[in-house]
Amino acid sequence: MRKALIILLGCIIIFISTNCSYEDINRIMFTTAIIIDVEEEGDTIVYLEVFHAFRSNQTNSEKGERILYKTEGRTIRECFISLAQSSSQKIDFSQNKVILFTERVAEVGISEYLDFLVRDQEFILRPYVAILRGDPIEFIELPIKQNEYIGLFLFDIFDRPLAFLTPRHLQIYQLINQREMGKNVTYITSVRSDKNPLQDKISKDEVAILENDKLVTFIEAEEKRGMAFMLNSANKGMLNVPHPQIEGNFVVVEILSSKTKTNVYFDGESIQLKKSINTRITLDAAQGGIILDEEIINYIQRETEKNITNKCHMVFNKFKELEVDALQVQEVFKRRYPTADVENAITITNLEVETTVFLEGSSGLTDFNTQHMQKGSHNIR
Amino acid sequence: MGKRHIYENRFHKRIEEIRTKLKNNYDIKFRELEIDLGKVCVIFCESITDATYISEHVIMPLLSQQNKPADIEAIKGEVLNAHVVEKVEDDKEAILHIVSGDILILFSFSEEVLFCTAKKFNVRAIEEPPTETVIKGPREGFNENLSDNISLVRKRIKNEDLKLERITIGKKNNDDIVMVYIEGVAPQKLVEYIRQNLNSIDIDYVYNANPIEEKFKAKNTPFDTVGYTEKPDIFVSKLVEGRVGIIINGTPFGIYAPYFFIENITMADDYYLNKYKADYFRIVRWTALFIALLLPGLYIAMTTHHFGLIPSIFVFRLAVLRAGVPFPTIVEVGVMMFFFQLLREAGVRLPTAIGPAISIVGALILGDAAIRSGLASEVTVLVIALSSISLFLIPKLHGALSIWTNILIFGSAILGLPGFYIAFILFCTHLAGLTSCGYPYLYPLGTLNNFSFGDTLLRGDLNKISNNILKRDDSP
Repeated sequence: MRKALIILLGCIIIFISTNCSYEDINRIMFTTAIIIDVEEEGDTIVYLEVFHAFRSNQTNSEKGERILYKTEGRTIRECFISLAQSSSQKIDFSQNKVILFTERVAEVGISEYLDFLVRDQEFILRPYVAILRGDPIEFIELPIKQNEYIGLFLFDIFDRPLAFLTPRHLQIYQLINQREMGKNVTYITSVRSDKNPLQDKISKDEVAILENDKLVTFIEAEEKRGMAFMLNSANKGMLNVPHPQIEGNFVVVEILSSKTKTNVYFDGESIQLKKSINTRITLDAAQGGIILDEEIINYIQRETEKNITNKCHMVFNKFKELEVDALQVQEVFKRRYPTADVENAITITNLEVETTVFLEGSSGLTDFNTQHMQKGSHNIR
Repeated sequence: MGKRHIYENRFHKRIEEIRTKLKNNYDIKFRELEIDLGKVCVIFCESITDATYISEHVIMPLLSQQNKPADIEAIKGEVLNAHVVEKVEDDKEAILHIVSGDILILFSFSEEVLFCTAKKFNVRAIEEPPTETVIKGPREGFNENLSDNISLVRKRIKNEDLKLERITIGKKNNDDIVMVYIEGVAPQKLVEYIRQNLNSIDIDYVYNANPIEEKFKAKNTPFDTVGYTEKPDIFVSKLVEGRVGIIINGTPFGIYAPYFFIENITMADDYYLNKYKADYFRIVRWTALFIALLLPGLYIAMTTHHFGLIPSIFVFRLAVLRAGVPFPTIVEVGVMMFFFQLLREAGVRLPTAIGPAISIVGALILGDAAIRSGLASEVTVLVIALSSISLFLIPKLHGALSIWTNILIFGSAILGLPGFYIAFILFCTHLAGLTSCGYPYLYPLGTLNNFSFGDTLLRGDLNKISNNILKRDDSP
């Protein structure tokens, strides 16, 4: 009897102490996007895009609707408390797909907000992070036809395998890791609403560079390409090289795969950063057509190598001038030379890029019996 | 007083005693005959004896004018044509023979009492068992007659090592059961263990298999640790593997031990169909086991505690579908589980002709009505229906899995996934702790190296798995 009572008591204690986390899925509002902005006085503004399920008594049917919230407070915590007080249902952040910091927040510094987002148990570390350029209200109200929810739309475009030459989009846990490495320089994809005569769209052409959680600069499309090769995230993409046969025209090559190996050498005064880039490409298009032979293939390979090398040097020189370690030189250097006392490695670094490009084409197989490959048989017109 | 006079008095006294003991039994008949040597009384129970046989092989020879027996030995040897004619030792035994379907013969000129066997019970024909239908295998099934059942076993095993030990149990009923095993294949310790336990059964009346099953079953568990089958081919296959079987008079099920968890998943057809086809359906049944057991609990845990683990599109859909349901998910699931149990019970209890129809119509109407009335959401109905249908694939585990499914639901509702895992681990440890006649119930899962079982998740080649599986003799 005593044993049964103890078991019963145990069950009741467990039930009472743990049942608080029980929530029915229809009595929850799910956020899909959070935009964090800051006022000139320093107060925080939070915009939320929320999914809300309800039963309409007018149409007598169940529905899901998109709700936009705006709340202000002295701290981000205050903003969420204020939201919770005015909401009929609990707001859940498990479905949050993206956290956007406005450009103003990035200039002031995102560390205060990151601390809250990481420390609070209700937030998850999965959402993508981006810097929003432009007006947050205009952005959140942008009608996107592909998805009613900006958060889900951004998640889709961030989560797709990269098909362009760009540094990878960071999720919040990756951002936190990156902050702890090297010189606390992070790169975050930047988004903006793009007014278009046919349809408004969201563009993500730029990448924001943050040092010590504060915005330093934005880099443009050309620099992004070089950065992608330098950071070993150039998986897919296109490059233009001058047409070998028609002056002024271009040949477009598609990157099939690319691997960048990094080595660093230190002689006590300067650092030699060596990037070995191995790229496989294929011919995507040629303005005016092209006749391929061994020589032309070599030309395209050489030009592509030159193109990649130039892009890498361009972006490296930019960051060296800015003295911002966006290419993670400090981290690579510290791993190789942990005892060396160098404050900012990129300032004393010289870059050496060794690029090898291999152009793949259609098969030259002409005879199945002898498996004979005819050299220079790529003939595209 | 002469000897003859004493015999005559005893003759009448015995008849009177039997009349007294078996009074109020309309089917007990006393047929008195007058032969040259004196009076003879034939006593039998009309409802369980063959009247024609009695007339032709007992009464007619006694009354025949050609037979002039000199004494009782002559009656036994020359007059009675019955195939079994033996002497009765005492009055108690005499009564027992009458109620067992034998003919008792009393003589006024002799102290001896004889009995002849003339049993004739009404028995069901050998039919296809309704609980274990097969696509390709034999259609024969056990019936309620011990002799028929034994003949079905003997027909399949023509081997001198097949042993059929008759044991009488039931203090007041004197029921016959037969312990069946193949000597040299069944471990001697196992045979001894089962024999001892059968002899120690202390019950007045045994008229079904359950009292015997319970003697060997593991305690405090809803899982059956003793196997049962209506099919003689399955029963024989178990004997060949080294198990010990028990056939009980009056029940169409042969029971056998030890019995293992994975046997709940295997079906007779697995051994009659193409190996790969059989394996495919066995995988389906294993999947059904996990769906039946885990799906409702997982559903509760995910939709009440861990929304982050569900894809966004599905979370939104679930939320919209449940928007009109006023009750918590746990209540919704509990109600729907109960509805399906009601339907199942109704399907089982109703006559075979209308049972399935009621079940299908009931499921459709109830499910639809529950959704329309806002009592349940579509997804909950789907989850519970899927779990219930999966249970039908493994009918022998229906009761036990239903209980454990509820435990998992309860754990999930309280603690979410941690509660789900705790309940699942409890389930696994419970199974791992069970034994069947000393053999681990989860055998050969986890004990694969110790035994020569070639029939686990997938079926091995038949010529390999039919050997003795209880290679290591570690029974009690």
